[in-house]
Parts: sequence; C-alpha cells; structure tokens
Amino acid sequence: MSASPPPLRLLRDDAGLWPRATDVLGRIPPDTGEEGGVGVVTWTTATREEVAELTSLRVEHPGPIVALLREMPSARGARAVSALVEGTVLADDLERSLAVTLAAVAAGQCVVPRALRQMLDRPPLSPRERQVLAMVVMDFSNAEIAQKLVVTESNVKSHLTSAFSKLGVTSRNAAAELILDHESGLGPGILRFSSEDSVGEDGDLPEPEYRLLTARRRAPGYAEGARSSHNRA
Amino acid sequence: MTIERDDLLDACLRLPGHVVHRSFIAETVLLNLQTGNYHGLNPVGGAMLEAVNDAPSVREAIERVADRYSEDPAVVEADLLALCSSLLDRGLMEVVTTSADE
Repeated sequence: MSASPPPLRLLRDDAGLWPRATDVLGRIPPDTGEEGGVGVVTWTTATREEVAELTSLRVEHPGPIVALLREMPSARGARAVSALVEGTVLADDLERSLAVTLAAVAAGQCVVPRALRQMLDRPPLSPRERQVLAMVVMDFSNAEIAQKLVVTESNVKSHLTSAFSKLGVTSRNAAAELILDHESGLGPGILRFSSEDSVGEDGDLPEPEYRLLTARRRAPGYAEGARSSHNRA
Repeated sequence: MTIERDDLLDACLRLPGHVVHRSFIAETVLLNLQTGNYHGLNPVGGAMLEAVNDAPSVREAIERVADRYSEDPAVVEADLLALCSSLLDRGLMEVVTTSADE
C-alpha cells in the first residue's frame, strides 16, 4: 500500500525534524493554510512544556495533529501524546511510518507506535507491589517496609524490582514521580486496589485531591486545627 | 462509626496495623495499606495525631496539644475530637480501650 501524505500544516518544529520529514515524504506537502489537513508538531520527548503548548495549538489548528518525537519519551510523555494527539511517529521510524501515519490520521484513525503502547499497556501491579510502592512514595526504606509488612527485605526488593519493571522505571525517585504526577503521570490512583475499595473506605472523598475538613486559624502556631484528609490515591 | 463525646474523650486511640504515617516538613501523610489511599494532615493535625497516638486517652492528648500551642483547651478539644472522628470514620485510627473497659 502506498500512502500519499495529506495536506499538512507545520505548527511547531521544536525538535528540528521538519526538514527531515519533508525529505522522507519526497516533497513539501501543500500547506493547508488556516484550517484543515493534518497539523504537525516536532517535539524532543514530549516534555511537559512541549505538551503544554497543545491547548493553544488546538485553537490554532482544530484538525488532527501528529507529533514527531526526536527521542523516545518517558512513560509520562508516552501517556500524554497517546491521549492528546491523533498520531505519533518516532524519529527513528520516520522513513517507515511517517507517510502511512499521516494518511491514517487524515482518514480519522489514531496512530500510536508499538513501542509507546507497550509503555502504556503495563501489566497490573499486584496488591503487595502496590503496598510496597505506596511506602516507597512515602520515603520508607526497604528495611522499614519489610518490618511493617512482616516480610524479608529481599522480598521487598523482589517486589520493587517487579514493580519497577512494570512501570518502566529504574529508580525509587522515578517511580515516585510517576505515581504522584496528577497531570500527566500515572497518578496516585495506580496504588488503589480498586475504585470500589476507595469509595467504600472514603465514600465522601472519591476524587484524588485535598479536602480541607477544618480550616480555621486561631492563634500563631495553631493553624487550622485539623485538616484531616486529602485523598491522594 | 459514631462514638459519644465523653466516650471518645476517655478512649485510647491508636493507629491500626494497616496504617503507616510519615511526617514531612509541611504535612503528615497517612497511608491506608488496605486501600492504597493517602491522607494528609497539616502540621498541627500531625502533632494532634502524634499526641493522640501516644497518650493514654484523648483527654490527655488534648491537654498536651493545648500546652504545646498555648491554646484554650476547649478550642483544642473541639478540633481534636473532630479530627479523631474523621480518622475513625476512615479507619485510620482505632479505639483500643475506653473507660468502659477499665
């Protein structure tokens, strides 16, 4: 199947991939002008700053958008592009995938590279892995976790290794960052055992956000008596 | 869970085994290991939690918090009882003994 590129509109070339993309396509596709066609952005790794531009880009270009990524994004970036743009092409795949991706997106499809999808289709965490990760987020050491969960330290390490592999991270900090990022990471909800559990336990706090139950300041040093619950997971 | 004011004042409350907590500069975080839910307390709430968890009764914890912050015990009592009720409702604390047990 040969796929000819639809009319394109370059929206941003932050990663400098546009000249190479036009070389790959064999010609500079016609610019559609103000509307229509497929919008193209080139990003480094779908950083927060790059993805944040999408709101204004959507106003500028209401049609579908394809992101060309210079490098493999983090799990956060993969999640963001998969959810927010209609197509993604990695720089290493430009020759093989750009034309067909543009054609598919122009035809109303969404296209995600297999490598990114594998990052998103992570295997589910076991309850024990969730418990261990939840304590890692709170900065507990392996020894402290082992003591609390009444398991051996090597058992904790084993659960962490497995959990890190499933999350696609290699360090405690990276795992914590991924878990706590409400905006574009996995979010703390990943540590819930099920949505039913959380509603049953905290029926009035279904949303992962701070809930200020008491917010009074009566005296210096005695602030807000008891702000009880923010449910962050 | 509903517990009368006087019973709560005389009760000894403790963090249950499925709850861990950690105090940071700006907040104390409690984690319910049964659900994976986090809960946050501001520094005063964290101090109240520590006091309740250490004291033989909620009444004693109120005195300690009032002393620490030089605050009217009646004011502290209202806030601390509200906090305890909230924590008990969420399964983040449990009643170990009440005056009726003694």
